[in-house]
Amino acid sequence: MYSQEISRHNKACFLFLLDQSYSMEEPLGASQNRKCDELAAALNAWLQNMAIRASGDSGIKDWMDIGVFGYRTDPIGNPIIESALRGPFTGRSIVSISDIGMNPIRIDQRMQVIPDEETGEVFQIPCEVPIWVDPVAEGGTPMCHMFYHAHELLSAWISEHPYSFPPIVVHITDGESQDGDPVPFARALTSLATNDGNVLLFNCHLSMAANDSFMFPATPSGLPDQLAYNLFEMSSILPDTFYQHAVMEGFPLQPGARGMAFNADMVCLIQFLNMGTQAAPGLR
Amino acid sequence: MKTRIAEGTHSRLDSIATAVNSAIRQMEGMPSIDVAIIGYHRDADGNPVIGSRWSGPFAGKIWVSSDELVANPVRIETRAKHMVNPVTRAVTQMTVEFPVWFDLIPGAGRLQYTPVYEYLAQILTDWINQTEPAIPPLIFSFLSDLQPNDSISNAVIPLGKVSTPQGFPMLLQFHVGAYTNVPAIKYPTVAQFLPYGAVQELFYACSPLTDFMFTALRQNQEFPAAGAKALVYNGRMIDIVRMLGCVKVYQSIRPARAAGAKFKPQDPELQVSDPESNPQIPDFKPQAQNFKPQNPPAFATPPQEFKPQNPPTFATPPQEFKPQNSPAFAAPPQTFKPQNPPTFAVPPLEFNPQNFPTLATPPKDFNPQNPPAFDVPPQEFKPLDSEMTPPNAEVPNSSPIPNITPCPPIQSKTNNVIQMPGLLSASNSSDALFADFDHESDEDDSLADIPSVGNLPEVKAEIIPDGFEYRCQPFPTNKSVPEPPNLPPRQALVILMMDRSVSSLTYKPALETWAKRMDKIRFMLGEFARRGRGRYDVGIVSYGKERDGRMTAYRNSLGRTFLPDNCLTETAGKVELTMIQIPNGIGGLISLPRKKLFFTDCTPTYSGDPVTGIRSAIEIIREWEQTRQNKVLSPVIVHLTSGQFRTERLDEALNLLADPTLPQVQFLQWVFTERPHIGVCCPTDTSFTQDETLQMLWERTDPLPAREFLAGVRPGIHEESRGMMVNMDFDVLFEALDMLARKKNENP
Repeated sequence: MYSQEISRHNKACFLFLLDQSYSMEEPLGASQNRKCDELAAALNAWLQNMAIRASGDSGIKDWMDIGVFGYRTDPIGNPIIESALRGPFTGRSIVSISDIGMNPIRIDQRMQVIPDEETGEVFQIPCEVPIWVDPVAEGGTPMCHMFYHAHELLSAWISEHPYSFPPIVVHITDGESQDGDPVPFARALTSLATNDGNVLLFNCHLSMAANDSFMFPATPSGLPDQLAYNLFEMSSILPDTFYQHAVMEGFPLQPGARGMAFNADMVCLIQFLNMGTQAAPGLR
Repeated sequence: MKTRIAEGTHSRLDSIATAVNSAIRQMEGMPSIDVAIIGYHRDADGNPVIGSRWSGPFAGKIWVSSDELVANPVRIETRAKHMVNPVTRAVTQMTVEFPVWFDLIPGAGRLQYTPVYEYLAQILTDWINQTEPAIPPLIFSFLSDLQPNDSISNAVIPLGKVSTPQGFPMLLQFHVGAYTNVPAIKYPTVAQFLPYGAVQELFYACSPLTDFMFTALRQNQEFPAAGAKALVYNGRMIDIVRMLGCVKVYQSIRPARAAGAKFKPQDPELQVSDPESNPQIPDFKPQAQNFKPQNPPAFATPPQEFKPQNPPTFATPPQEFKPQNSPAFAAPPQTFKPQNPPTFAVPPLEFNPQNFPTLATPPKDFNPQNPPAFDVPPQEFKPLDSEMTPPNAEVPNSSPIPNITPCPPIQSKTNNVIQMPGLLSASNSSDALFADFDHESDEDDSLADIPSVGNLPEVKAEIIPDGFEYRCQPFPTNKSVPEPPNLPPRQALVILMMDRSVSSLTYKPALETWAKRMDKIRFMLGEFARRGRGRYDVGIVSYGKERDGRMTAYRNSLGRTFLPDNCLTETAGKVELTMIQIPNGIGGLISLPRKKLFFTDCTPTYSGDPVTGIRSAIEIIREWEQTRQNKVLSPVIVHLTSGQFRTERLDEALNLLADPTLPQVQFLQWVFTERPHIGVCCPTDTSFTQDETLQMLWERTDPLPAREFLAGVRPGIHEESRGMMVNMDFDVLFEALDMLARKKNENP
């Protein structure tokens, strides 16, 4: 289980579910920027890294399919579930990494923070970064609708790739579902499976406050509220390869650790994205 | 052990062998000691193999004197030593001769630790009976690949039965690391920060560092904190060498072997030289009077997991010990009493007042053997109900996709209030906690002995060997802190008042909360030091209730009662260089080196009395008022607590702050709950919680300084916000103080 090597014939699938509700306007913990801005920056960097990682002598290898979906509601509460990938990908649900790598919607100029090895301080330099996802923050949080749609998407993908490493769903939110209890929907999603194992669902909760974060908890004890409990229940137990990878990276995990982060700030979010996606066989 | 050592090029086994062979070579010219090298593994058939690893002329022996070893290396290897030219920084190789006394050969499988320590106890007992040692044996244990079921804290129990008149064997544990990207944890003081399971067990299966170990490690550029234990986890080659440096100091402090009690080598061809004929070795007289049974032993095991097991009952230690799965023993040793568990097993959190000073600054005639009379008799502690019922978190393997429901109208997520069980959910439970607490008799006069800040006494740390418990005391530092000239006016005094109380000294969440409080106070001091411009003075007060019932408060943890923030780094007793990660601005992370400062190390206590802490804080405030000129802001007390005290005591403490002779004091609360609770930043009312303790604390918290300026600018801050944080970082304090000082300077 969870051992299928990722290749052109057995592609991986990463599905990102992004909370785009109005509360994503709030600043992310320990940051001056909005949650939606930081989330878009982290995801764009992840996409760029994955495109680089899939690159070889013959260009970007078609190793993985990627879907990035946002969910929010309109002013009267109707759910809006749509791909967050813009430009040439508008209307496409799942896109191959080679397409993504070759077609950023634009190149932005940002200030990159660089460490000064002499002084231990940092300085900023301008740099160009490719953009695929733009920040959005409006409406409510139709989480159940999002999981329902993800179930449809992955059912179709799995039927086409029954021997692949199972899809990894990364869900990033900052609050509670506003269209019902999402746990049954999440269980339905994780009940889907390829021959190599069940769909993996990893949940990350973004916090506005500079709070102690919970990364990959093994038990629900100590989680502060019902939202955290729900995310814990929805999150998959890390497969052994992921567990070992996280331990080697210095995370003090306990057996049975789940793919969940709570009260995450930007550092935690990026670590979570890396830990949750880069331990699959063939990607390390 | 066959895998490569972290940050090295050789296997872990070879690295250990090289380091130990090197340590043996350095025994030359030092007083003679007896040395044994014990290896253990499973053979190809799965049978345990435990025994001496000497080879050559020493093959088959267990104990060999260092004099004999140094004179008779098994072979001399030629090795390349790397030399760095101090001027050009060029690295050149130099061929050197490297004597080798033993090799470590990997076995077919790993072995449980219980038979190993049983064997160790047996050979040590025999050695002690033969030699009448002048100092307890020193044991270095090198291991790797810890498994969750190793139960090493139970395995070391047989060593507790091995005793010399001077104490129990000293056991140093070294876990040899293999992962370069996992940092080493060296000489920890508490187990809470160690990885769960086997590593935390290892913490309880080693001795506290003693005086000579501190000396040796400092000589080798290693600076453990007071109270540190002899444990290195995920260590590198350099860490092995530094730890083995203890051997040299051990040899130098060790008195010569007693006359007439010479070691009897098993091989007549290898006679130990007569100590009396060696002019370097002084005469040794057995000092039975040195035996101090009241001293805690140098060997610790966890109190909760202590399970007396079958003791080792070797009749005669074989040269190559091969227990067949579960070794059968001929007869128990004479000293074994199955009905009496070993008395060495002192719980780590136990406090023995006879061995520790009880005052923040002990008087000159302080005698640790005669503690002062206590004003408050020992109180019976009644811990809170520590049981938590975790929610059912089982996830079925598969489930059908449910029907979706229409999306309800949008609600603000930020206004959701989650009702959680309270710390003290009913007032009667609070009363029960303090039912036997005498209100009138808890006055603590010990603070009268604290000298005034005008003298600015420099507090030297007291390293207490063989202790399991270290009182709140400053780290060792002899640095003097000169006052920087031309400082800007002091803007405020910030006193971090640390409540050492926990609901139970054995309740894991309570101890974890305590560890978090300690970490936060270090973080806050580090932030003051990092931002230090000489604008703020910082003081620390910690208070608690000792096991004997006394209410204590300490205020000299920084070496002085208060210090300018730009002098904090100079007085840190310990500075650790750590790497932190920060966002790089484009969705990635960068690593930066940061200094982590350690100023104080405290242990948790029973429920303390805030009156004691506030009195100590008031002393600091009075001295600050007399010392400092051109003050801009009123003093601020930040109370780090979990609320384990009676409401009336906090009210009485706050009444003390209302003394008209005192300046107005801002009293802020920084709360870390022992039971899960959402993080709350500067609430405006009590609707954020159903917890009565938190509500009580909110009602006794002053408004956040500069809230009127931060409202609308800083998220979560309103004009009615109070200076209270629950389970969150109090980083808004810096913004608040800076903002208020700026406004005051603009409009005095």
